Amino acid sequence: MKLPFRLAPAAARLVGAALLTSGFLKIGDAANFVYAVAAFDILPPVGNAFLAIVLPGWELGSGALLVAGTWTRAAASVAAFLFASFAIAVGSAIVRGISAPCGCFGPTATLSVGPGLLAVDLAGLALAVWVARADASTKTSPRV
Amino acid sequence: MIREFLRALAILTASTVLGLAANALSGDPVSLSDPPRRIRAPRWTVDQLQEALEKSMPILLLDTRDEAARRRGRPKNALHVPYDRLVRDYARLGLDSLLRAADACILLCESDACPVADRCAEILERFGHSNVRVLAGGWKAYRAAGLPEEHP
Repeated sequence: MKLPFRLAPAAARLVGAALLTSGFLKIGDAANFVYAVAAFDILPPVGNAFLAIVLPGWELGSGALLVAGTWTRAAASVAAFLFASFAIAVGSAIVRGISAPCGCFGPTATLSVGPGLLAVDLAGLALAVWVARADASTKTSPRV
Repeated sequence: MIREFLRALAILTASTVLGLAANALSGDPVSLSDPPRRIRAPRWTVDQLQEALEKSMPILLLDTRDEAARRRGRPKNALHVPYDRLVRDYARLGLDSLLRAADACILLCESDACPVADRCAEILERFGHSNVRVLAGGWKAYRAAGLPEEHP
C-alpha cells in the first residue's frame, strides 16, 4: 500500500512533535539523562556524557524544523538517523537482556526497553524516511 | 543532494551548540572531562549465594529483570523489582525493613552484560543499605548452578 505524498506534511508534524516533546523534556537535564544513556551500556563514560548533553538538542532542532515545515528533507534525514540509532540501541539492549527505562521522555517517564519501544522507533524511522523521500519527490516533480 | 547534506550538518551543529549551552546553563551540568562512571556494585558469586541458602541465612533476593525475561524462569522466592519501579516499590513492598532484616540483599539481572542491577544497587545504597550485592553472572549463572527456580 502506497501512502499519498500529500499526507507527508502531517507525518512530518507528527514525527516533529514527538521529537520536540522528547527533546524539550530532557534538555538541560543531562545530569539525570546520562544514567539512562549509560544503562544501555554501549558507549564509554565520555560518550554517554556527550550524548546526554547533545541528543536533546538534536531532537529539538530536527523536531522544530519538521513542525515548522522548514528544511523538511534535511530535518527528516536527521530524524531518520536518530530513530535508526535508537532502534539499534534498543535492539541491542533487548538481545543483551537489559531491562532499563528508555529515558526517552525524561527521567520520570516509565517507558521501558522492550519490543514495544523497538516498534515505536522503527515506526518513527519509517515515517522520517518517507517524509524525506516525499519532500524530495515533491521538489523534483515537474510543475504544471 | 549536497545542499540537503549541508543543511543536515547545519541542523546537527546548531543543535549541538544548543545542547552544550543548555548543559552549561543548567544547575547541575555534566562534565565531559570528568564524566559519570559506570557504577559497579560489589559482587557475590553463585557459590556464595548457594552456601548462604544452604545455611538458611536470611538472604533477600531481588530480581531486576523485566516481566518478559521472568516468564522464561525466575529464582525461587525472589521479589520482582525492575529498575524502573524500584523507587516506587521501595515503600509499597516494604523493602526498607526487608533489607534491614536480611544479612545480604542480592540483586540479579540477566547476565553480567546487564547493568541494571548495578543501578538498583546504587539507589539502595543511597537509601542507606550497605548489605547490597549483585550476583555475578546474573540469572544465567544462577540457572547454570542449578539453584532453586520457579516458572509462572
